[in-house]
Amino acid sequence: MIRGLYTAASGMLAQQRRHDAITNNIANMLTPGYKQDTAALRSFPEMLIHLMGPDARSGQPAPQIGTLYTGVYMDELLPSFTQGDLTETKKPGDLALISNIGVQYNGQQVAFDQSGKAVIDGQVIYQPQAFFTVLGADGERRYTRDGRFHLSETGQLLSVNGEPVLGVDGEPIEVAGLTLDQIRITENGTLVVQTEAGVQVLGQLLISRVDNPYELIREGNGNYRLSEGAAQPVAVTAEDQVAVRQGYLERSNVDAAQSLVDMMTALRLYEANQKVIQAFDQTLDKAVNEIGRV
Amino acid sequence: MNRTIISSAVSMQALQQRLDMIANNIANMNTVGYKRQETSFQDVLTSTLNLHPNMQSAGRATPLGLTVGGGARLNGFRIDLAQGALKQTDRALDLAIEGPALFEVVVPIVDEQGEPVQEGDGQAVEVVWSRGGSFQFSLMQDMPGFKILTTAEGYPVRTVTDDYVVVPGNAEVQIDASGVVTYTNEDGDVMSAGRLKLMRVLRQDLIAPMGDNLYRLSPGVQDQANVLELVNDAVAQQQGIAVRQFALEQSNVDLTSEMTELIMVQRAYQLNARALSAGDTMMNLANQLRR
Repeated sequence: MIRGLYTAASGMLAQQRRHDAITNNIANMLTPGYKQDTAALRSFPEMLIHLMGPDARSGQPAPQIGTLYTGVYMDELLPSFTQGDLTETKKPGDLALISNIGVQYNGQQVAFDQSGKAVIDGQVIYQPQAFFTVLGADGERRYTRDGRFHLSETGQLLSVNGEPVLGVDGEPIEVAGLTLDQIRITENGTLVVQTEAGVQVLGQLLISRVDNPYELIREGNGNYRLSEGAAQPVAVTAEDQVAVRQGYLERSNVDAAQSLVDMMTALRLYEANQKVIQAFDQTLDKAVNEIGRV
Repeated sequence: MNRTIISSAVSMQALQQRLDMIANNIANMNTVGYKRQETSFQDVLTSTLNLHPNMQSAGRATPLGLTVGGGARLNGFRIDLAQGALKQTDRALDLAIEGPALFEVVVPIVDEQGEPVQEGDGQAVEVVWSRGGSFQFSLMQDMPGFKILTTAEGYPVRTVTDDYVVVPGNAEVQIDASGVVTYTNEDGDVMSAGRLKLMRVLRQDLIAPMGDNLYRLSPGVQDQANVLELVNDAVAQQQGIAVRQFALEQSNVDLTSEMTELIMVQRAYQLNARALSAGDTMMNLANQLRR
């Protein structure tokens, strides 16, 4: 069989998977706290190509031509953690995180690119991101940017999935006997209530700082979890430029125009690969039907 | 391609439901006491592909494995109990509540055929709560010459002592801001018929609408005291709760924000439809590989 047939088929498959990823982004255009994924393709496997037959002049084994990639596949989905726009909902339980954590390298402030990465001296440095911390059903922590919280009947702060929201002490936050509109959440995530005796502090939200957000695994339902072996994130400090806004929600960071262009590109590349397969098909047709005709 | 089509179809279904909800809000913009409904979206995960450890290639940034998304679904449905504007009327029994409170109302429990259910020697009743509206006086069979304060559908309203509000047949009532009902009798004395019972709402998402501006506790509520609290003078002043006579509460639908949301949902629907037709084109291309 001609090598290129399988290469083109793998190209079609890769573009199809890429199209699926872009469609998922478009589908989640209105999901609060959603971070879009970009598909990364990788060529594989490599093959070392030689001329056929021994060298005509010297009789040595055939010389090399070079390396050929005989396939492509979708390797990973890279998340993009750019800040989503804030939209005002005026609900006291809606929180939005503004995360712009800076990192020092060799005494200098690192300038990150749009995807949240910087490459200095061959080292890849990722921009840390801040997340709300909730307790998953299995007792492990989950991280989310979706700040739609409400109070349970007993006064426990819950996420939209019903998971308890953790405070800096690692325990779920409980505010007994209060309603959400009485509670004010400050910029660093502290919950305060105005009483006759003054301002009373009820607790503080645990805002986790994930140093390498690319190590997070998306779980669906707005949650991320850590991959195995990753270190548990610490809480953000005052130096990190992280702010919590009550009454706002962070919108999805999906760029509709870019997604549509990428989708069209994936479609046309799919079509181009299809044409390649059809061309190979015609070539094989000649080999099978015309060359051997008696 | 299949994943694209399924993912787009699922998301379009969710967007359709969101559109229906917005349309319902806009349709009920002029309904007295209507509370707008809202919901939002969440991403759906279909599968996690575990890749062979040999596929860990140099320069890979994310953990080994592919988490494949399946579109978006609706989550976080809630009824927005924000205060609606009060419209002045000239009807003495048009009552509106300012602040996060509800009247307490008694409704008879009916079975599937609509027959009243008996309990003991009387009728089985359920306590529900009302946001106000065009109340009326109903005549009572066992007390001729007197009338009882009920909602527009005829459900009696309760006082703080869990009694009904009963006044003589020809009396006109005044209801003050704390809910005290007074009337003038034939001798010209001002008599009190009780104080209307108001309950403050502590957990907005744990009361469910029943229609007719009535609310009941959501199923699964352990203790009513966690959701509703009796309003006394201190609570009324702190929360700004008051009863207004000669007023009706309008819907709390804001047309501008509903239209903005409508436009965004419409465009998202359009984009998802575009993605679905692109998936369809790809399937067509695959079908045409070999005639």
